[in-house]
This record gives sequence, structure tokens and C-alpha cells, in this order.
Amino acid sequence: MMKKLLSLSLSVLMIALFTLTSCNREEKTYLGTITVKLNANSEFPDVSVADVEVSLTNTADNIVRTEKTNAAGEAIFAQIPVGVYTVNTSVKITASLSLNGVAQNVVLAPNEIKVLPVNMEKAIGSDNFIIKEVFFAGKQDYDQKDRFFEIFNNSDKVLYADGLHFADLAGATGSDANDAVLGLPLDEYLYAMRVAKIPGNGSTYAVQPGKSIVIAFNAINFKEGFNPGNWAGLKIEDYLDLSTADFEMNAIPFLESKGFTGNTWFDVDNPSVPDVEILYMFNAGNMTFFRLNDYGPGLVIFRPEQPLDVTNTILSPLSTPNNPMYFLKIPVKYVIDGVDILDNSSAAKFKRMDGKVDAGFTFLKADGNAFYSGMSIRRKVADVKSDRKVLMDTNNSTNDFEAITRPTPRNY
Amino acid sequence: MKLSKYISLALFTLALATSARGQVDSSINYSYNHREFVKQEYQTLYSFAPSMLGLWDQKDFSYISLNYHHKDGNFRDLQSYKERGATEIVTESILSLDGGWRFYGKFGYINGNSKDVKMNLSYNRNKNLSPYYYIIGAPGDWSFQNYLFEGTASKELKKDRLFAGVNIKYYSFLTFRTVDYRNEQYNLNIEVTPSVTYKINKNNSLTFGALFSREKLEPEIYSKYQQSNAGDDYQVYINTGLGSFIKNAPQTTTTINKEYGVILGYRLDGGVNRVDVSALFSLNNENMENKMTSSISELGKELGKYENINFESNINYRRLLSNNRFVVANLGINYIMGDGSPYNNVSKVYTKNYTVDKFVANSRVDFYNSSSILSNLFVSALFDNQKELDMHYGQQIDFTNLKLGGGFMLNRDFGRVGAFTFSADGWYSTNLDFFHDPVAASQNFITQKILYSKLSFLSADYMETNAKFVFTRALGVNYCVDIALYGGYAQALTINYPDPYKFVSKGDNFKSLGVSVTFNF
Repeated sequence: MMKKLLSLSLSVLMIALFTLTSCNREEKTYLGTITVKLNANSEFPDVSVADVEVSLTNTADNIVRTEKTNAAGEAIFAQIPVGVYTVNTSVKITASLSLNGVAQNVVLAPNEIKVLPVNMEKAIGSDNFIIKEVFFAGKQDYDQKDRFFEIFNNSDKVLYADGLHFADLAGATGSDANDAVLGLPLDEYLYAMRVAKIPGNGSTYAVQPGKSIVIAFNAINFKEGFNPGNWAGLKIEDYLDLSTADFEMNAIPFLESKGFTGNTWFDVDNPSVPDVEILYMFNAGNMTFFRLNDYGPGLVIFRPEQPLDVTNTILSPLSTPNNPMYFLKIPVKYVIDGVDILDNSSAAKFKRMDGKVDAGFTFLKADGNAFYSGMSIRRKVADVKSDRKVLMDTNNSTNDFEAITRPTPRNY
Repeated sequence: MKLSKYISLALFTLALATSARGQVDSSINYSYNHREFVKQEYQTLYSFAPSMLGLWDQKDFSYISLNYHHKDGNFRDLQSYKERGATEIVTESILSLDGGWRFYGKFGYINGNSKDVKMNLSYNRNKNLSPYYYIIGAPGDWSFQNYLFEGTASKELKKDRLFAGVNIKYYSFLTFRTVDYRNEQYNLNIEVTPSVTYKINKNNSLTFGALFSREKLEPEIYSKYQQSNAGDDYQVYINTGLGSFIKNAPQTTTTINKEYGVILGYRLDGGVNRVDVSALFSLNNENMENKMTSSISELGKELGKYENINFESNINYRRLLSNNRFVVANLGINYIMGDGSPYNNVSKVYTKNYTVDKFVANSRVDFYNSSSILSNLFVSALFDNQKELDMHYGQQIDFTNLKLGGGFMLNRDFGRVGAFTFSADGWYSTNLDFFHDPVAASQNFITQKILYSKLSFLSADYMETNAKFVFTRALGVNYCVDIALYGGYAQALTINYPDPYKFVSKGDNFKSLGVSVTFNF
């Protein structure tokens, strides 16, 4: 009896074991394929779309895959995960002329076999002012007061910065899980949180070819405040001397003209550096100040044909009754250059400017979280001539800009 | 729970233990090997169902133990610690009362710290193989406090026929990362197990029970000091599969795990021979939710869910060879089959993305002889197979390990001077089978920075040995104290899956050393 029960018990256990271990689950995967098919540009029938390198970026994990097109102009990306992708390719024709193929927010569904036509569009390098560098993330010290951006004369002639406007566009960057898309059409207007212009009578501020102007948040020599005991690991070389900036952003006169008090902690005026002329601040009020978006500005430079109408605003769709926000409308046709800096590689849906201004977007770190990183966004050099650098300008910041670990005002 | 409540509960457990000894006339067994056997016997055959306590055929016992141990070494899972030191206090007691009542109580408290935990911002990984945990590149040190309160009451409802019991277990893991990013993580668990045991006749008894468990995990992640974050070491992710992850992870989440199970048990007791078979079949349902949400959030409240079935079974055979000698053979198995489904806040659905299957079989044969200096001999084999698949990337792992070992215990009693016990065991673990195909995840950071190193460790052949020396001395008639010094050593013998980052290398070792003082009463 004992042996029988023992045998029975063991048998039951063995059957259970066998049943469980033989449950070999065959699960399918969701892998799919994207075939990028490049369409040649009819203006340039001789420029082949065969043997062109195409990059495909997964905006979730930032993995960049590259494939070369076959004779039919197809780059096949097989066995890739479900996700949202960015496609980029460029064929250089001359130093200032290239054909770009760009596609964003390409969604690959589970097990999808997708064929994606991509037109090769003409991109002519700007012969005007362009944005060279934007340092907006700041370092941990000085409360990010050492921020600046730089405008570069990419032409071969002297340009005047007088009256050049710049705007920090409204919209989230994807830095926060709670960020919402602004949801306004971008083809005719861009929407600015802050706008300012460079003063001058039209011939005051000449900028030589290959030279630039620096617009600082605070035009201060930050090296003077360096204290090695304060910030472990930082050296004096890490600090910027912005006392030689061409302009600084000082909102106090603008705010006082509206009956508000300014913020003397953030707006430290250097009287030897001229201020830009503040035209619009969406949040003008006591203790406010002019700045670029901490997590990634959508920065544009533009020249309106007439004086800017600062009453031409729109109520943000994201406003609440207790917090109405009005953004200034900037006609796209006036824009000279723009760079859309978002928080991370998967933030394409937060783009704040139309493809005509910036076909792509850029970021400091692919996974975001670059606040206080001390990193900067800088345009790449396309060509070095005997007398000047020519910066890359394919109208696509994904291609044209790169993230660098330390800012380089007026330098590379 | 406030500290005062913990202290009250601890004192209650202690009071229960001590009062037990005050009421029951039970001479303490000075044999260390017997006390260890009785504790193991309770865990193996009685703890799965509280009504089984009605069939408890050993003497009641109580002890309180203070223990300190230190571990360190390079042969480890990189997401575990390189070094750990902890102080632990445990008290455990079984108490039989008149009227058919029998109680079991346990209180445990551990306080310690761990150093150099890599690619892990959650510290503990879930026992149910859920894929959800936080990842950060910056390595970190942790401090932790764990509490356990467990109480079982069983009652003989019908003389020598029907027993009912209930077990309530409350345990918490409070873990705190002490470098940025910080994580103050509270993991609170409660488990309730009611059961009945019915003696069909003198030899046969059946047990039926149920298991209800609820686990709550609440991490709170923050940075105490601002630091340069030019590198990627301070990115915070939530792992959702085998390569899949959520980036820009929400920093406060709640994970609730509910488990419902059925318990079955059968005992055939023929006196000389005894067979115990037990089984637990349970369903786990885990939900991870974002605590900081709004209607415009990209990430919604739901982050992911994980469901698994869990099957545990144990078969135990004991044969008495003589008054002093007996043999025990035990086979335990555990099978977990789980599915992870992250939530897509755009399509508003959970999509299955991760599957895991784990099978463990643990067999052991013990020979006991209380009249010999060689009081225990054992051999053991542990079989372990685990498969994981990430359906998003197609990444798959499948590995099987076999661990073989044996050990012994020597006892020598020197009368009034005291008794000495020395035990030692040795193990050899070998990888039987290994498969890893990253498919589309070969460049993925989880594959690159975690999986290669982890798999290199998990598939390594290694040896392990442990030893313990115990001095036991009587304290009066009803008390004795065990003072133990113990240690362990493991060393990698063969690296079967070379890690490109060489996190684990042949010859790497892991050491442990500890000391404990236990009062038995």
C-alpha cells in the first residue's frame, strides 16, 4: 500500500512536471520592415538615388541603422522593432547645394511591411545670417545665467544685424511626461513666447563674412566668480567670459515700461554691452525676465517688413481660465533661419516650426534630461575657405547641428 | 507603519515566544543538528498550510538570534551589490496549548547597506519575474531595512480528525539609495493563508487552503544635489522587457501585485515511512501605475501590467531506519510562466511584449544519525531553466544550469564545556545549455550594458563552498546558546558566454563571512 501510494504520488508529480515543461510557448515577435524608396528630384535628373546612404533612427531607443540604396533607390531595413522612426539622407551636389530626403514620425506597426516614398528635396545653403550656437541648458551654478546664443554671417559679404528679430517659440519640448503638443497650424505663423530685436539704425552693427554676434543672457565674466570649492570637478576653463558679448537680454526697462518690477537677480545689466530691445514677453509681470526655453528653445531669427504688431496674439489652446497665455504670431515668410531644439530624439511631435523653417529638429541628449548639463547645440562646419568658415545649412537641424559638451562662443 | 508599531509587534512576538516556554514543560534539545532539522522540517512540510501545524509532531521550539554578515566580490550579477553588510535579528517560535491550539510566530528585522549596485535603481528585482524595474547608469549605494511579522494559529476542530488554521504574514522592504539619483522605496506585503487539514484515517490526511497576497511597491526618485549631467549616467528608465524600456520615466510610481492561490496537501504517515506532497497553484496580477499624471500626459496612469501563473510543488519522503537514524528525500519544483504588457497611452491598450518561463527543480537526500559524530550527510541537485523573449525586439534568452553538491555535519558534545558542530558543503554549477539572440536589440543599451554582463554571470560554471562552526553551551536547564561563525566562497571556473565588457572573468570570486548568536529556549 505504502509503495503504491508513493509510486502514485511520484507519477502525479512527474506528469505535472512533464506537462509544465512541455508547454513550450511559441510566441511571435512584432518585428517589421521599412523600405525607404528615394524619389529623384526632377530638377536634377542626373543625380542618382542609387548607392545612397540612408539613416533610420528609432526615436525610442535612439538606435541609428544605416543602409545603402539599391539600384532602384530602395534602402531596406528588415527585422526592426515597432516604433516611431526618423529617416534622413543627403546627397551633396555642390558645397552650398544638396538634395535632402527627410521623413519624421514614421510609425511602424507590429509586423508591418512598410514602403516609404521619400522625395529628395533641394536644399540651398543660406547666404544670410544663420544661428550658429545655442547654449540654453546652463550649468548647475549661476542659475543658468551664463546662457547665450550666437548668430553667424554665413555669406561672403558684410551683413548688418540692425533690426534683426529673434523669437523663442511657444510649445513644450517633450522633457516632461506631462508635456502637451501645442496643436496650432504652423504653415503660416509661428507662435512666440518672447520676441526681441537688435537695435541700430541699419548700419550700426556690421558683421563681417564668417563672423558672428553673441547675444548673452547676462553679459558677465563668469570666470570672476569661480570658486574651486563650490563646484567639485569644474575648472575655470568651464566658465564663460560673456562680458565681451555683443548684446545682452535685459528685460527690466521693458517690464518697467509696463508698470512691473524687473528681476535684478537674473537681469544683471552690464552698461558697456548694449541691450537687445524687448518687444514681447508672454508672461510679463513682476519679477519676470527674458530667457530662452530651459529645455530646448525653438529659436528663429527674422526680419519683418513692417514694425512687428505686438498685439497680433493668439490665446494658447492649452490655456486655462486661471492661466491664459497669449503668444505672438510670427509670419513664417519673414523667417530667415530657425532651429527647433527639443528635449530628446522621440520628441518630433512637439516641433514648433514648419518644415520650411527647419525640416528636422535637434537635441542635446538623445534621451533628454540635459538640464544643467553644460552642453551646447552648435552648427557643423560645411567648408573652410581661405578667409572664413562656411557653416552647414541644409535647412534641417538634424543634419546641420550637433551637441557639444561645452559652449564655444565665437569659436569652434 | 510607524516604528512604534513595529516595536510593539516585535515585543508581542517576543512575549509570545517567551510565554510559550513559561507554560510548557519542554527540555531544550542541546543538539544543534536537531534544532536545525526541526526548523527545516517546519519550513518544508508545515509552512505551506497553517492547518498542518495541527499535525506537528516535533517538540515546540523558540529562539532569538542576532546575526551579522558581510559579503563582497566580483563574481556577481552586475545589478546586485558588490559588497553588503547587514545586521539581522530573528525570533521564531512554535507553541502548543491546551484545547487543540498551536501557534507559530516569527519576527525578523534586517538593517544593512549595499555598495556598487549597477544599472539598477530599484535594488530588489521581483520574485515573480516581472520585468518592471528602474534603471540608471550611475552606480549606487543603498541602505535597507526589512521587517517580517508572521503569525500562524491552528486549532483542532475535531479530535484527531479536522484542523483549521490561518497564517498572516506581513513583510516590508524599505530601501534607500544614498547617492543621486535617490530612491526612497517602500515595498509592503501582506499575505493571508487559511487552510483546513482533514485526517481521513490514522495514516492519511488531506489539506486544502487558499492564498491571498497583496504587495505594494512605491519608489520615489529624486536628486538631492544638482550635478552635471552631461553624461548619460543620470537618465532614468523603466525596464519593460528584454530590451524594451520607458525613457524619461515617471519618478513616482505605484506597483500593486495581487496573488490568489489554491493549496493542496496530502500526507501518508505509516510510522516508519512518511510521504508529504504539497502543491500551490497561484495567479499573480501586477499593475504598475504612474502617480504623476494629467489628462494631457504622454504617459498615462497605466504603465504596464504583468500576469503570471505560479506552480510550486514539493514531495518529501522520510524513512526511519532506527531510533537515531533516518533518511529524508525531498523534491521541490517551481514553475513560473509570465507575460508582461506595457500600456500604450496612444492606442489605450496593453500590448503583450514580454514572456518569461522559469522552471526550477531542487532535489535533496539527507541522512541523519543523531548518535554519530557524523550527524548529517546530504547530496543535492538543482536544475534551473529560464527563457525570456522580448516580442518588440525579438531578443531571446534561454539557459539551463545544473548545480550539484553535497555536505555533512559533525557534532561533538563535551558535556558541561559545551558542544561543537562543524558543517560544510560543496557545490559545482555548470551550464547545460545557453542561447541568446538579440535580433533587433544588438545595439540597444540594455543589451549592451546589462544583458551581456548578466548573461555572462548566469551562464558561468562555478564552484561554491560553505562552512559553519558552532559552539553550543547550555544555560541552565531550559536554555542554550549557539555561537556560530560561518563563511562561503564561490569562484568562477568557466565563462561560457564571454562578455565584451568583461564584467565577469574566470577566477572572479564572491566571499561571505558572518557571525551569529542564538538563544534557544
